[in-house]
Amino acid sequence: MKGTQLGEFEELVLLIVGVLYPDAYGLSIREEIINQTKRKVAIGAVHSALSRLQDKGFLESKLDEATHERGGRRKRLFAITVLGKRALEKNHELRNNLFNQIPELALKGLNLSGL
Amino acid sequence: MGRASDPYRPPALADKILNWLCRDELIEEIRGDLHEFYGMERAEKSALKANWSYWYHMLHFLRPFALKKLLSSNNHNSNNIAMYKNYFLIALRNFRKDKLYSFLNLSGLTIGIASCLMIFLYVRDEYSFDKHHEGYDQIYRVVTDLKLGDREFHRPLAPVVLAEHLTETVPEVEEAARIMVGQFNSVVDLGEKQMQIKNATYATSEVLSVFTIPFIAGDPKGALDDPKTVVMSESMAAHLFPGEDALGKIVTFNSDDFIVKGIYKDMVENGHFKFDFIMSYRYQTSRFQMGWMNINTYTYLKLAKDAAPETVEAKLTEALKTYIAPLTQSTFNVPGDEINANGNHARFYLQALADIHLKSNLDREISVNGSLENVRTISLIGIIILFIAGINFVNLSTARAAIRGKEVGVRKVLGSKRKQLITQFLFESTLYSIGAFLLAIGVVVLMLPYFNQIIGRELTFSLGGTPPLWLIMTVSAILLGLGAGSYPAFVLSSFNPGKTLKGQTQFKTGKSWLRSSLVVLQFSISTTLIVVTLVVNNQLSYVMDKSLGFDKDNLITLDIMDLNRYDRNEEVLKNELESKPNIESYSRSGFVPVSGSRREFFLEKLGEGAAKESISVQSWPVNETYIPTQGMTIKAGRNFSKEFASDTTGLILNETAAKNLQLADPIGANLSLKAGGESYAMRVIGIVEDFHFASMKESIKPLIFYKGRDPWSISVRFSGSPQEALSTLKTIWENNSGGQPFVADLVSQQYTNQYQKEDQMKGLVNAFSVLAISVAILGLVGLATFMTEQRRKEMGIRKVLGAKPSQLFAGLLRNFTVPIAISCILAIPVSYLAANSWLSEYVYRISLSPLFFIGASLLMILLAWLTVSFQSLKVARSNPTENLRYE
Repeated sequence: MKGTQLGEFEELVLLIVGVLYPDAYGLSIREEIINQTKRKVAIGAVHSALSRLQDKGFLESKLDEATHERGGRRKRLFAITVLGKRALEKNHELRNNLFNQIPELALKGLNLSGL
Repeated sequence: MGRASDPYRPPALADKILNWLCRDELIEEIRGDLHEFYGMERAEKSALKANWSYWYHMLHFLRPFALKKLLSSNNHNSNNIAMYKNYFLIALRNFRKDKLYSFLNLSGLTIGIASCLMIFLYVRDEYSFDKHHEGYDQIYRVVTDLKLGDREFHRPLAPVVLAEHLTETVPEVEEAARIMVGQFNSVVDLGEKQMQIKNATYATSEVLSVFTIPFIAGDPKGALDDPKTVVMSESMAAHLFPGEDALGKIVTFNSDDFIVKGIYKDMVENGHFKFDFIMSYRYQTSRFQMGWMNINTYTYLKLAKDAAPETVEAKLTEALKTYIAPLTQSTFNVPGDEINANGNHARFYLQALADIHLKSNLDREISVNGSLENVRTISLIGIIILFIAGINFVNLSTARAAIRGKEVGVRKVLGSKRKQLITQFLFESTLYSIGAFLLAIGVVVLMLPYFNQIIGRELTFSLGGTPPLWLIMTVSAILLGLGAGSYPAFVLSSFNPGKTLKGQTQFKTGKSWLRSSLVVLQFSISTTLIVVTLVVNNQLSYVMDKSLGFDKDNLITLDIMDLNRYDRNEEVLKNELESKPNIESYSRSGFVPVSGSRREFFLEKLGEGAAKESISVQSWPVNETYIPTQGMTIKAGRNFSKEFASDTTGLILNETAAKNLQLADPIGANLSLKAGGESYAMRVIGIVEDFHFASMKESIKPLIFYKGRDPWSISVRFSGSPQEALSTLKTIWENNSGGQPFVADLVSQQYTNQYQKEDQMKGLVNAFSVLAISVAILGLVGLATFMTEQRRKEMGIRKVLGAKPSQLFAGLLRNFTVPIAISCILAIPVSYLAANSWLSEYVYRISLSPLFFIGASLLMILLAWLTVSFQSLKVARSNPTENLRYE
């Protein structure tokens, strides 16, 4: 169903929330995405994806204690839910499965033409 | 929560926008992230770059997930928007589903709205006259209204000296501007060259400041203070001095040298005057002695901001008593204390500047003004067309109620309230109306050139103006949608879901009395329009073709501008003219019978004791060639002749004059002619047949010819084509007139121009009546299609039972004939009254024969039959199995 599909960018964000646990919040996730993938991402885009993932039930969040560096504003910390973990696993499994089914020849052909 | 101080402050405006647009529950974390990010950026980059990047990321938060729901303050009611989406979708589907119906509905509304839009543009233009002058609502024109003894004088003119008197004694009058002689055409000399000038006048410098006349060269202040000064329009300057700077140049008029003191932008078309050449008013006043009895000046007063015109009018009455009353005895033979008694009256009054164009229709207006009557008639027709289109909408919507009934039933079962259903149908009709407005804009843009041709204007379409047209259109689109949609919405939403879902219609589609009466109303209006159109067209062609008592065809008048130059060569010119085969005769006197030159003298019957008759007559000086050249007929006696020296005291009367004087034996009767305070003893030598010299709206007035010369024009009778005659005339004129410009007119053309307003009216009535009727026919097509469709099954059964197609056809036709026939009968009294009131303005008019009504009714019924028979024939001839199979 439409609501529980995991988009490519969403999957990336979901994975990074896992990587950064327990310190995953908007800005740190963006930093990590830039560091790991060299993609340019607006903070708003990350927030938007986080909000969607939470709506789908793949993430849960809570507000942190206030700190000084943000002018006293609290950050929202994210964590993967069981549903989120399952979605990741399912995606991973699907990819592996599909990858293993690619015949040797096709990959060879790719290599050849790549040369 | 306490806020610690930020080390860096991000752009405040960006923060504000974010605060304003973002959801409250998200704002804290978003701003937190952004601020933290800004702190990091500032630590490594310049403030400018960091600010820029802050803005960039802020704008990226303006996404659906973060935005407040703007349409409702709390988020509970998003259903509303969803419902409107659904209404929109359903409206679109219905539109596509029944294309014929949608097309008829939309095209009817579009025609109606496009007509109204064009009419609106025209009416707005008519009402915009003179409103471009700054402070136009403070400007008034003085009108003199006198009836003293036999003389009547009601003109927008005031005594020469009134303006000075008012500015000196009345504090409310800020400025008084004066114009003399209205708008005339003449010639000026530029060295040896003679050039024509148009729209010339004499005016004081105040005219340039009371009215808004922007100068492009020279200084308007005091520009016309010296007697021999002139200011002119840009285009006149280009005409007289092409490619040169006209400022400071000399122009010779009437053998006097005028210096060009200024050039102004061409005056706009929508003003009650349009001058191109303004000479100093002082030029006139310095040459002639002028006082309170010289009532020849258009006087415009600019009043103080809060001054009431009534107080100024009171002052005017005082001035009248003090200065005019002592003079009436000598001028009018009426003692000063009787000017407002014994059937006399004398007064000044003020006309607001903005009212002049539409409401003032006095003798001696500066230019032909508009007609409030035309504006009203055309507005009425506009409203009628829209009304007919609205009826179409109501009829077609309710007729299709049965189809929409199921939808209503389902919606009701699923929990729709009646209010919601009404909203749905109103929304749908508003969509239609908005769509029609958008289409109408396109139609107007395409049709405006033709419309301009009819009204003789240069209207342009723009959505601006005050109030802006787009706003008017939006508001009217919604009002029209709600207005036309309210009845269908009310009917459709009233259905009982149980019944409609079972397939019963509650709304009897065949026999709705309301729909029938609306059709009757529509067609009564259309029939009335046809009758009025027929009458207007017939009357105007009657006016054009009526025998006038003179021959207006094959007659040319030529204006003489400069008597000196002309008289030098008159003999040569005359001989050359008469040698041409296509020139029949020539007469030096241009009292063109159509323009109705006013020169009133008094004629008194002499002798015969106490029965002394005195009448006022039009008196035209003519020579012996005048009557034959104009093609008039001598009824009794003879024409003037060179052989009788005594003809200088001879008179030729028209039949009306002879009749009014009650002369038993007119030829040879002795009369006394009073002109300019003198009496002349005259003898009648002939009677000329009555001819029309004024509009057909007036009866023929008494008129006399006396032997004399009106030196300012020539009339020429020709044979063959007018173009050829004009070119012959032009060649001869250019060789012999001493360089005067050639200003010639066909009399038949002048005659036609006299009925310009009526002709305009005819064009408008014709065009819009056709539109109104086509809208009504569109509605009938829709209704006929629908109703025959409804009766398919019935027709099938009838056929199976043995009815012939012709019987079925007749039955279907009868259905529509009855309401149309009723509407024709209803239209008779209304159209009779309308046509009669329009005709009553004419003294010479056609009679309202019953043929008009019969013709219009037959035309209407024929049109209706044509419309209906196509559908009826199709159903009547179809195979009954097809009609009965569909269930």
